[in-house]
Amino acid sequence: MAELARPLRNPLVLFGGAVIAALFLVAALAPVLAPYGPQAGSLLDRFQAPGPRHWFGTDSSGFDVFSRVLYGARPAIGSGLIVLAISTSVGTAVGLAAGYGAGAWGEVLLRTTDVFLAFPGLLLAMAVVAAVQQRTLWAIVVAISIRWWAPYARIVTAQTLSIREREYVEAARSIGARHLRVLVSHILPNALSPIIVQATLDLGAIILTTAALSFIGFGAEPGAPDWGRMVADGRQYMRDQWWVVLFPGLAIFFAVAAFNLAGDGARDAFDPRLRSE
Amino acid sequence: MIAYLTRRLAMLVVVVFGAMTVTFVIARVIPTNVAQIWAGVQGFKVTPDVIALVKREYHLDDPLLVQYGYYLRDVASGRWGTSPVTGRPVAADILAYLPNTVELAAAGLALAVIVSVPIGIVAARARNSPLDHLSRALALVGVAAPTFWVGLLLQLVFYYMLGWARDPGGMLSSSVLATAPVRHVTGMLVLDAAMTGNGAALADTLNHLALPAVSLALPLVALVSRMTRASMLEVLHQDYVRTARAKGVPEWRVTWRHALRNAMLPTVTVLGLSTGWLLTGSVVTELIFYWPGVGRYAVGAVTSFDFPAVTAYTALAAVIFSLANLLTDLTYAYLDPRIRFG
Amino acid sequence: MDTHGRRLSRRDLLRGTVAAGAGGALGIGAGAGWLSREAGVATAQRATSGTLQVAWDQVQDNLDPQTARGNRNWWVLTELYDTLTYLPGYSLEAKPLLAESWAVTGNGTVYTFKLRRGIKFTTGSDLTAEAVKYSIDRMQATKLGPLFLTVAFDRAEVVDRGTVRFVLKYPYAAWPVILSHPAVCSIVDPKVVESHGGVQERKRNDYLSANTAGISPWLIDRWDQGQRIVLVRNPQYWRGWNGQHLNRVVLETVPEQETRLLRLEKGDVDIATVNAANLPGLEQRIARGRLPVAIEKTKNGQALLSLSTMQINMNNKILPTSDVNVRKGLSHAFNYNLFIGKVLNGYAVRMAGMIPRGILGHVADYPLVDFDLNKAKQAFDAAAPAAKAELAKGLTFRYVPGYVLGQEGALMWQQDLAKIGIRLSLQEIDQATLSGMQTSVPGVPLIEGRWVGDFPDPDNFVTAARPDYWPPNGFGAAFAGDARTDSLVQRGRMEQDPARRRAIYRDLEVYFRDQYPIIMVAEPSGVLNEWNARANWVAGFEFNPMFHPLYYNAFKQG
Repeated sequence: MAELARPLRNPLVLFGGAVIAALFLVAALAPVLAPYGPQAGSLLDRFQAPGPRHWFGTDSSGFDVFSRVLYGARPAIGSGLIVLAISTSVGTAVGLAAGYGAGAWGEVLLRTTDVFLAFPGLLLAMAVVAAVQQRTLWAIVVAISIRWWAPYARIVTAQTLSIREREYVEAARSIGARHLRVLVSHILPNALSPIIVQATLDLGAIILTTAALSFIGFGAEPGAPDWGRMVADGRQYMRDQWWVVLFPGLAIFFAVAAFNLAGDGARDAFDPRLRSE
Repeated sequence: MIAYLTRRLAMLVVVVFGAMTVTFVIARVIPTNVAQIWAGVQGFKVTPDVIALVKREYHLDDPLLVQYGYYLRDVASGRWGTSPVTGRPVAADILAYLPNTVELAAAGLALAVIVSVPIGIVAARARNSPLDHLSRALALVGVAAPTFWVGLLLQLVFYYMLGWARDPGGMLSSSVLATAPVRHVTGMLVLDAAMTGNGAALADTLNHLALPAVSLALPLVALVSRMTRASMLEVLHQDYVRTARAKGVPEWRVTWRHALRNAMLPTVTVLGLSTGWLLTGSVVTELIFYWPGVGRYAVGAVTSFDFPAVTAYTALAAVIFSLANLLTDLTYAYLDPRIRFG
Repeated sequence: MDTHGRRLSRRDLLRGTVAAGAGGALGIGAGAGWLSREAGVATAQRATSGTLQVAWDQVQDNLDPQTARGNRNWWVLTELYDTLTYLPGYSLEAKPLLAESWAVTGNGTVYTFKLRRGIKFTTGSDLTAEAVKYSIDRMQATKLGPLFLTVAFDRAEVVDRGTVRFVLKYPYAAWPVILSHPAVCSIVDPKVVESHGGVQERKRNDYLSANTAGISPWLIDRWDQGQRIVLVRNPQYWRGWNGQHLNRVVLETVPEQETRLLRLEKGDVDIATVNAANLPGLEQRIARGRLPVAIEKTKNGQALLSLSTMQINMNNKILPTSDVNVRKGLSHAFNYNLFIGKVLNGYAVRMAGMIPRGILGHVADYPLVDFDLNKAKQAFDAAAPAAKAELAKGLTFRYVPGYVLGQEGALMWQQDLAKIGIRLSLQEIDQATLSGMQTSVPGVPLIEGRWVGDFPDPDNFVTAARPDYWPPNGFGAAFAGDARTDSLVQRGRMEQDPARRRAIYRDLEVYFRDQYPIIMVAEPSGVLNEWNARANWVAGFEFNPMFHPLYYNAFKQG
């Protein structure tokens, strides 16, 4: 626990943590914080430049960009958390089974993990989206998770393998502890810290992937406040109405940067061996 | 070493095979009347017999296992089917677009290495100095700024405002195309222009390549520079380095001969693993800069439900990715004496 | 800080490396840019060169004239295949091109064309009546082209080597102008087709889709699929090259609006298509004297005719849109003036009927549907229970981003419908899927559509009201015609007296409109909501909403 104190004194990590807290706050309280609704406005207010009434200006439908940026935190964080939830649980389950189970099963699971690791996340997600022919956020979330569990499985497998041979595990088994108990009380807690580190870093990457998919056109539906989509929609007006592209992009940047900084901090706290300082 | 190599190759085959199966499953287990869409797309009037024709041609009504058989046979024999949307053979399309993506990826990779390794070394040597912090800031920008956004901003600033880059949209200006067309050798314009001594085209293609390559390289720069810094730091404090210094070996030699070589190991790993990023990033970069590569082709295929094209592309990506991983592992094995001789 | 205080600081060395490395990156780009700019074409030089640079968003996929579909292919085909007649300049009246003259007999059902002498294909063969018959028969035989253009066509006959006769099923005054459409009768060299597979039903000819075999001022120099087509002068062209002409035309595909705009403003392209959203900014900059660009908008003080319309197709045959009250409600819920004013920036007028301005039969004095949410609500309330039940499940509107209404129009409509309790969900699709949906049965309730005239006759515009235009035999998406519209269409087609024709079409339009079959949105003043923005040094560029060769008469002057 004393080790936690060190990274917490690093101003960058603190900054990252603060931004993350702000993000979660914004996502939760968007309706309260935003001056306008995400689709409040009409064509009459189209393309207002940033000013006192609209801090970030308005977009091509007359919606307030600042409010949409705030509301955009919801799909970003939301889908990120869901993907993480799915990936970590599936990945952990598979990893435990692969590392703990002896012989053929373990091999099969390991190879399956490798197969899924052989796809860059975006590409597989695109293929899945094409297959299900749904361009909604849920489809994206599932599509991304289909690939994203694999790194977690790998981490957990490695941990399981190394811990499995430890003496206290042998000891537990020798007094008759059941496999499941061993898994849950001995192996899992040790696997937890690298998972947490990876998850924090991953959240940033997931946000980027979701944004990229939305940008390409698979993701948020028309009108929904989604950062990637906002950049895509604003692109054709970039020449004269730069604000529609600039602010959502900055939002993505700050969110991902924050998760990265915090992830570095988490890594320092939980796994000094991986420290880069 | 041989045993290691054989084992890895066997694994590669298994993985690729598995990847193709996954792709196939995704493409086939779908609830839909793609036949109708495909029939309509090519301008056929969609009558039931036309739909039946399309279904027959693509074996859409056969049992899944039979379809899988057709799929494997086609892939193995190099016939990746005909795109129902464009009407052209998928293999021909992909082969036409692939060199451009390779060119872009290579440029991005080269740029990343040239920029980030020195930055990493300097940051390690000048630890905690302003330079180090600057490199850290750059790394943060690289890893957090979305590629598509960066690409758009680069276009706006460097093409429109400053006029340094040539007109975005493609690889070669039409004016150069008219006056000094590049003779086809490999399909990669920069290489071909260099090989055929076409100076004007070389300058032009490099210029067109610059912005996309920068967009693509930025996240890599972040990753590689940090990696290099970290491993340099680790190595610089090792015993054998201190011994070398104590023995009076000049500093630069310490850095280059002793430290760098071992520090490069993780960097090489990262570079190999960055193939995944290059494949992903190129999709977005190609869209932004209208680069005629496989990434852009794939997006078009996905948008129009062109399954033969999508499966071909995904399988290809999996193969490339696996091969890159294999190469990285091999290089790592080569560089790390413990594996080589162990 | 780690320093060992040696003299030639390794830090300097390293810093130098960094400078070289980091600076090298941008340096390569900047240097090459500077180099290319020096070596490239400066503005003054560009103005007088013989190459025309065009940037548009069309992607060609098939240059086989008798099997290609879509404006994207036809615009290029007009450059590659001369036809019997053509539309010169801004005119909508056909003039002879490969034909010398023609005569109309048989009470308007027989057209006899005399061909010009001495014209040869680019392949060297002579132009003969057999070739003409072969060409027009080929489209009928392959059945892949727009057959709805030739419903009046019965057969072609070779009278002698230099004379060909077309026999129509009924009198059809638009026939000469239809012949100028690239899909109908682009004259191909029969020998070339025969030696590359011949005429095959339902199969496009792979050789022809990528090569030319016609009579044209241009040859294909190169075609990078999806990127650009480069046309180069055909020195043997029968009209000759005296006077001012271009050497080369580069048609480059640049799908992104903003890229086309940037390149036009930097002077890297000579002609670019610009859509309504970007026009005001562009015009402002032109007015301030900062851009040597002109926008094709008016001719003799009048707004250019685009002969194109934007609409929303409501499916008249499936619930809930089969109920006329539902259609009425949807029509009253669209804020036409706001859309035209804000999204099209005023560069359009209300679509007043299927027949646009400038075409015989256009109805200008019948009241238009107004935007009134109260009326909309009343209409929805008056719908039959079955339709209401279906409506309660929600409606899906399918559209292609950037095609007709765009996201802004769709969102606006969605918002307004929500105010009266109608749930409209939006589904974005791509153009391939749109075509697929538009050519299939039973279709979808709501899908956007647009119409660009193929030939300047009312008969071409009333397709929404023609049952024979629906899939599976046709291309409609509203299923909106019935026996009455059918008979009116037929009568209008065959009537020769303009005044009587006008009356028939008025009947048709009024009857049609009273059923609210489609939502008539706008008639933009630019074809397909795109305007040609042209550098000032491009001359001889004649805009025409119909297909006609654009580049033969164009040239560049400093």
